[in-house]
Parts: sequence; C-alpha cells; structure tokens
Amino acid sequence: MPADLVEALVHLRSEIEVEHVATWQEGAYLNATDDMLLEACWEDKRTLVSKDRATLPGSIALRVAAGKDHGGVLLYDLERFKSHQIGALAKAIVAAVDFGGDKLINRWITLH
Amino acid sequence: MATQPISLRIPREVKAQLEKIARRFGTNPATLGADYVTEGVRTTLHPSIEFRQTPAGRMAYVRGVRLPVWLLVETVEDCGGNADKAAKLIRLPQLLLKAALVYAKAFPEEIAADRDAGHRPIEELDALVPNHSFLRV
Repeated sequence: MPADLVEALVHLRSEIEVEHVATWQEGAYLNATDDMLLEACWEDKRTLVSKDRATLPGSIALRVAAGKDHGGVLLYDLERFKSHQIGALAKAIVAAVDFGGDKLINRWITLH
Repeated sequence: MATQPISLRIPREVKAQLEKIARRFGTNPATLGADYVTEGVRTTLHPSIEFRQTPAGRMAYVRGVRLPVWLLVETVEDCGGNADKAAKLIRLPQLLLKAALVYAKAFPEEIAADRDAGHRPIEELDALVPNHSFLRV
C-alpha cells in the first residue's frame, strides 16, 4: 500500500494502530513471502491491507487448508482505488474497521 | 516461445532436489530446470528482478521488496506514466523502479499474464476465500 496511507489513516482515526510493512518490525517483512507475512500478522493479531489479488487469495486458501488462522485481510479493489487516491482509500479502510469491529480475525473483506 | 534442447550435467544431489521440488510444484524436472535456467539468464540480465513461487505460479518481483512487477507497472500508469511520481508514492528508489519497467518492457506477455491474475473478477473471491465479504464504500 502507498506509504502515505499510514499518515492519512492516523489523521482520520488516531486509535487505529497502523504500520507500513517497510517500517513494521524494522522492515523485517519488507521482502517476505505472503505466507511469512500472514504468519507474522497472525502472531501480532494484525490485519493485512493489500490490493494484490493475484497471490493473496491462494495464500490464504493454503493457510486455511493447513488449519491455521489469520489476522484478517482488507483487500482494496485496484480498479476502484487508484494508487494516488490515498484519502478515499483511508476513508474506506476506516469504514471497514467500523464494519468488522474487533472481529477481523479470519475474515477477508474486499473494499470496492 | 520457441524452445531448443540443451544438454547439461549437474551434481546427483541437485538432480534429486530438482525432482523433489518439481513434484511439489506439480511439474516435471525438465520443465522446472528449463524455468530455472530461463530465470537465471533473465536475472543476470535484469539484476533488479527476482522470481518467486506464488499460488498464481512463478512471478517476477522487484528484488528486495514485496512488489510484483505487474503491480509496479500499474502504479506508474495510475500516476499518468510518471515513474518518478510513482517511485515517490511507494517510496521505491527511482532507479529500481525504472529497472523493473525495463524488465516489463522486455517481457510484455509475461507481465500481461501476471496482470490478468491481479485483475481476476472480484466476484471470484467469494469462491476462493473462506469467510469473505464485500464492503461497498
């Protein structure tokens, strides 16, 4: 996700704890595969925000098949949200957090 | 793409490992070996690119970040073709971004196929992902 999205989210809803993968855990997962990142997010009870629907659906399906939980996924539609539409995306993510409440674990919400 | 046969010798252990990985990926050692050679040649010529095994098949990524080349191409298009703006948006070094664009230009069919996977109809997600819901925003 765009790096400026973190700032936009904090501006909209300061209680949402959000980190960019480039800085989270000192960038340890910047180059991680989907399964490594999903596992790390699960351990931290953290929901993953992404627009990559090429690989993530398969990675989640494999994880579920292995009997593992995940921290939740918020996928935004890349045709609906262009890369530079930071403000609109931030508002959509806040709406998803409100929609999911504290029950995002093991859920996948597609924003479109 | 037209192909040609070559013959090569590899250590016995490497052959055994290749066979094992091929079984795991649901392919055969010759096809996987050819893929590895092709990728080796490409990453030598395009050192900013690496290949990853994904649920959507092997895919070209920008080396060192979780960013597939197709998504980078799309980000540049979102920025009206302005690569510098796109690099700033995703905080990627400009030269790294431009190196990935060079790769995309060299292998347009491969990137188009990856892009198709990234644009699968979102309605399909209901059938692919357990506990899925849509939120119109």
